[in-house]
Amino acid sequence: MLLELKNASLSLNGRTLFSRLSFMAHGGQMTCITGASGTGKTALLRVMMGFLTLDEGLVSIEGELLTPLSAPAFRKLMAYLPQPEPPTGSIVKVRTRGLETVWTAGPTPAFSHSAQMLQADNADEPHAQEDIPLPDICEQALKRAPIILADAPGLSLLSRLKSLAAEGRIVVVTSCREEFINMSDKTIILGNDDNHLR
Amino acid sequence: MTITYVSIISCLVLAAIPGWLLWYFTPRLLRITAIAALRMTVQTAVLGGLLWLLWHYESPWLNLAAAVVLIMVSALTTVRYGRLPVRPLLLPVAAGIAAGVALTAAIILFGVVRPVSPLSAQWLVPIIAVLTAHVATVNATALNTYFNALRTDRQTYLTQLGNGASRRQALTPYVARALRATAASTVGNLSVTCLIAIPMLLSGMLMGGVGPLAAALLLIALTVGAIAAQTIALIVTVWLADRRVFDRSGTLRQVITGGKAAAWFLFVVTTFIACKPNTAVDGVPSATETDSSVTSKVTTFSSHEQNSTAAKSTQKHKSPTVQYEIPAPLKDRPEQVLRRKAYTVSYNQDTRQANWVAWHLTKAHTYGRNQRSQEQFTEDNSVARPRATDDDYYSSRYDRGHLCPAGDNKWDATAMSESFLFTNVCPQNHALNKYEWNDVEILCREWAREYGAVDIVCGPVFTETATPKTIGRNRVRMPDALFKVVLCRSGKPKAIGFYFKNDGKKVSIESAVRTVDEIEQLTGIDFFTLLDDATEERIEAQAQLKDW
Repeated sequence: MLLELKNASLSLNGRTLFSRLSFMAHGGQMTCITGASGTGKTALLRVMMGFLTLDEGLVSIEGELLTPLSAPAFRKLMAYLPQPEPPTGSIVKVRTRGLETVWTAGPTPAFSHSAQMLQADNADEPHAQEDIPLPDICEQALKRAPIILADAPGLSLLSRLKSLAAEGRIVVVTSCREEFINMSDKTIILGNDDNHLR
Repeated sequence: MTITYVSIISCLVLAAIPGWLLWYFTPRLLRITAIAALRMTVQTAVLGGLLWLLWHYESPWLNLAAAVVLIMVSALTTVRYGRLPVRPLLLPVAAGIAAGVALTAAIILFGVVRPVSPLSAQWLVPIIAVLTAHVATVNATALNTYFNALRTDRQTYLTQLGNGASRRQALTPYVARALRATAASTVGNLSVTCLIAIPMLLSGMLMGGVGPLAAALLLIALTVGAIAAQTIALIVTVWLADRRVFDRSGTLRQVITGGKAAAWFLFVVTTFIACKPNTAVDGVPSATETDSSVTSKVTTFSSHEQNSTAAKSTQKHKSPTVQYEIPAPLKDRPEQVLRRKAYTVSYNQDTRQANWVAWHLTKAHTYGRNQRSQEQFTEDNSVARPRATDDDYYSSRYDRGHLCPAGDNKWDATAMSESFLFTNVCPQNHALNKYEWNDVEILCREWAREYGAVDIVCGPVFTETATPKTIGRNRVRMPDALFKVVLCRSGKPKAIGFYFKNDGKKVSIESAVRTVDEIEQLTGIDFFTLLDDATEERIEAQAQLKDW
């Protein structure tokens, strides 16, 4: 099984997210797409699912082009693990039992405990939702799909995704975490100016 | 029957009695009532004139044309009151209504009533009018629910598609939500219909010469037909709107709103011809609301396409720079503090509701044009699942009780919308929500007007038990009581607390008064930490309603 992107360029709202990006994701490998917030990691996954159309370049699966018309058929081969929902409000902090975790902060609040507010290391990494169970449809798809696309998965999924890759499946994850980057067979770093492979 | 112009004008003298009473007790309402009465008179006169024309010419083609006009008016009303974008959705909505209404009208006319001339003005026009009015009323809510759910919960849709579901399968949960909204609206409509509409319609038919049995049977046929028409219209609309709403890759299109001309046209047509829909009482047992008379479930379907950063975009609301009191961090229970435009909430994942909600109520915030009738309770995506949903409350006999009330958020559309998030809601006994709790909310608004501003914190109280009572599949915990503390900084600072058991037993506000110290003991929450210690100690130790 092979998922290939060739000379892929994508702009959203007038901003170029990535340009002339090429890579191949093979079965049996875990590929990690990383990069700073807003560099198009999630958008790239959506391109692979056919929800977004490239400005230039192509996506192919087993040599067959992924187009808006063929995408529904290809999606039947995929399991998509969405990014755990980030908070929509301006979160000051999250405290869960036994673990103090800090979310991204919105506009600086001017109320009493603003001094206790901390900045998160990475704004779009939902650290606090490690233990959120996957939706049923994802669990079912994980059992059968040869292509697995995981958007900013929690650490608890790392070993599972790795073992799924070991079964010969294509696993593509987006993450900024060192653990995922280190455990991946291939890392694609997205940046505003240049995208490269490590 | 002969009613002359002179006799009808003399009948209007009757209006002098309520008019005088209104002028005497609430003069402000007299003008509003007079305008409403005048508008109704003009509408009725215009409608009467149009009907006279139809009766006078008695042409099947003219009657069919009138039916088409009624369907278009119904579609426009649906789009307007459903807050839907005109350009992409007007035609699908009109086609859906046409399909539903035409089919059911044909069955009623040709299969049930079977008059000598089914296309006559006497039969065709009233039946089409009844059906279109009902469909517009109900489907505005249903379609708004459908598109609003798609907009706000697009991730579920993409997750379904991304895991190989077909478009139809991915849309099924949203259609189900819309049908549920239709069902709730229909139940509400039916309860109103039984009490008000049916006696009026029956009276009309009896006065028109129809026998009592035939009139009752016709009403039954019309009621069943209306429910069938609304369902057909909804399904056909969703089906037809599919291509206009989604692009080929399955992504929700950028919604194109209508231009000014269309908006004006809508405004003129629907205001002049159509009576205001959505006046039905929400039939859901838990939907009882207290400080507004209208309970339609409609929210804005905005034109924002959500992309991968959609969730973050909502963080960009301008944060008010008002400094207000929020309680000290909680050590003994889970807490996720979320800042909204008008309030701050400490959310507890275990109880699926707030530990507390705090806000700053100013005099200016007690007024505003944003009405709760345009909102619906919404699942809060900011917090992890399992979390409270409408379904949890739907099957319970408890109200979705606001903590930061809608009445304190009329000043801003976002604030009003956010007050309907389930993280600002707790299961509340209906009687408490309707009476005592509502009274305290009104009292707080009065204080805000009197003192310029007050700080308020409120929330549920739980007593320790091995088997806590919960509602719904998501196990939203039932509060044993509710508390509210209010701080006034104007002049010599003062504070007061209220504690109500969530059992609906009638209590006076005076007997619910507690000191803030007592509330702190009952809740384990430390309030008003910003104050200097001496002031805090003083105001938290005493509470007298007569001081306020």
